Amino acid sequence: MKNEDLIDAMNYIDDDIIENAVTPKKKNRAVKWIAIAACFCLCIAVGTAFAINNSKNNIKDIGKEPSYSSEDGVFIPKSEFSIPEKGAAADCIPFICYKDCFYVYFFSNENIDLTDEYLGEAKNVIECGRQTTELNIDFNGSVEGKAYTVKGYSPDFMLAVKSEYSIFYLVKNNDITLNYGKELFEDSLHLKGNIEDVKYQSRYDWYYDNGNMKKVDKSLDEFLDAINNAKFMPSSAIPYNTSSDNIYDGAEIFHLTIKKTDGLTVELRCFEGGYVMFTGIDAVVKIDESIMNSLIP
Amino acid sequence: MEDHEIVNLFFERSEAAIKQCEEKYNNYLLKVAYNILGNTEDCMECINDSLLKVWNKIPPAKPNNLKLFISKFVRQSAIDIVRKQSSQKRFSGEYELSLEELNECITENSSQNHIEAEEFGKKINDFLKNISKEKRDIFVLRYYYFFSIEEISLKRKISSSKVKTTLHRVRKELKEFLIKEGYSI
Repeated sequence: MKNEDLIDAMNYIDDDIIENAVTPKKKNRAVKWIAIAACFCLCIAVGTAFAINNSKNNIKDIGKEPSYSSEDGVFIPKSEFSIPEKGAAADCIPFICYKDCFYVYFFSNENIDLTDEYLGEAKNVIECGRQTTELNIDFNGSVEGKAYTVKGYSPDFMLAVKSEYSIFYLVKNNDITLNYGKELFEDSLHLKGNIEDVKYQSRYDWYYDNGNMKKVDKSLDEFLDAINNAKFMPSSAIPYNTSSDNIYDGAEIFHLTIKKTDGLTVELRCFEGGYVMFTGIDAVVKIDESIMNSLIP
Repeated sequence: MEDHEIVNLFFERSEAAIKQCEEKYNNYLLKVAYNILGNTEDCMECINDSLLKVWNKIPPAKPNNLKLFISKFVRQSAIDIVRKQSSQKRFSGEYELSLEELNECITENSSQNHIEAEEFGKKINDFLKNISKEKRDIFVLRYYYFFSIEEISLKRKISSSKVKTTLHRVRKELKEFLIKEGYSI
């Protein structure tokens, strides 16, 4: 017997088993498999930011390196999109183009609806490894639905796409300059004073999906002040254990999951040395490590 | 056009049947083939070959689910193309990765001789019916449709590591099931 026999045998399993695997659950409508980013075969790379989010998968990192100067902070250039060459594995990320910039997925929840002003119809223009039309047109991207501004957030930073099955929240993570933490954590994400619940999870438990999310009992004020006042630098500034080939395996300690009072959840990744990163933007701030570590036992 | 009307066209030996299948299911079939082949040129050839096979099968076959009936030909045809290709030309995508993963269940050097696919499929079917829907769906998405781990994670709204862990567990359970059923793996 060979493993190929098993692959061949799968052709003879019941039709309903094959069909049900790709049919959305009607009740919670959470498993729409076609609406999300061109389904089966979208091959796309979305700048550097989602290399962060998915350091262990095969999304190709094709973004330009962020430029950095100590005076102006970090400039993250506009992402370039390309269909990977033959041989690259297919991946997909919800994103849309708006005002000549790309807004990329950072959170989704079908029950949290902060949509405000309707902007236009988001169109999925990537199918089967092919762009069906120009990407650089407003609301074209990898997800279908209606695009809106988000209540409480600037459309220059965040948009939402309400698809038939979920609401995707997208942030502009490229063609931006970030100098101080406040510009992101306060001016854009409005964290301070708007936090309902904070949990942490070790890198190990996050990676192996072990759960073990634990509540952070301590006030976040000191931590937020520290990240607001710290200067941004590229994530490549994080020193990591040379036996690993990336900062996530080599330096990450824990994830901080901050649920805001409006329902949005912001995930921060915390690294050795006091480096803190918002999942979705390829830049970090460095704070006093003891303040960061005081959040966890 | 409804599927039963298309099937009737096959029975009437009307070539419009092929055209209707293409119009109705081309995107779906393209996706099934693309996950295995990784390029649209081979996919189109594969779909055309498969529709010819369908033409030869109906009648006498009268499928209840026309989409899946065609998709199974497309899937098998795409797999056959990949197997014929030299390793250099082959699309080193999810099909290859899936095969590697299945080494956990079945070792190439096992003493069991080649097994008849349909009979083996029935056994796999029995196994899949007795595991949870979540596990079953993830297994089918991976080893029938050859979705990447990341795609399954997005579709199912679970983390990639959860997909990997689930697949690992199902492979382990499948191995135990096959041993229990008397297969030499």
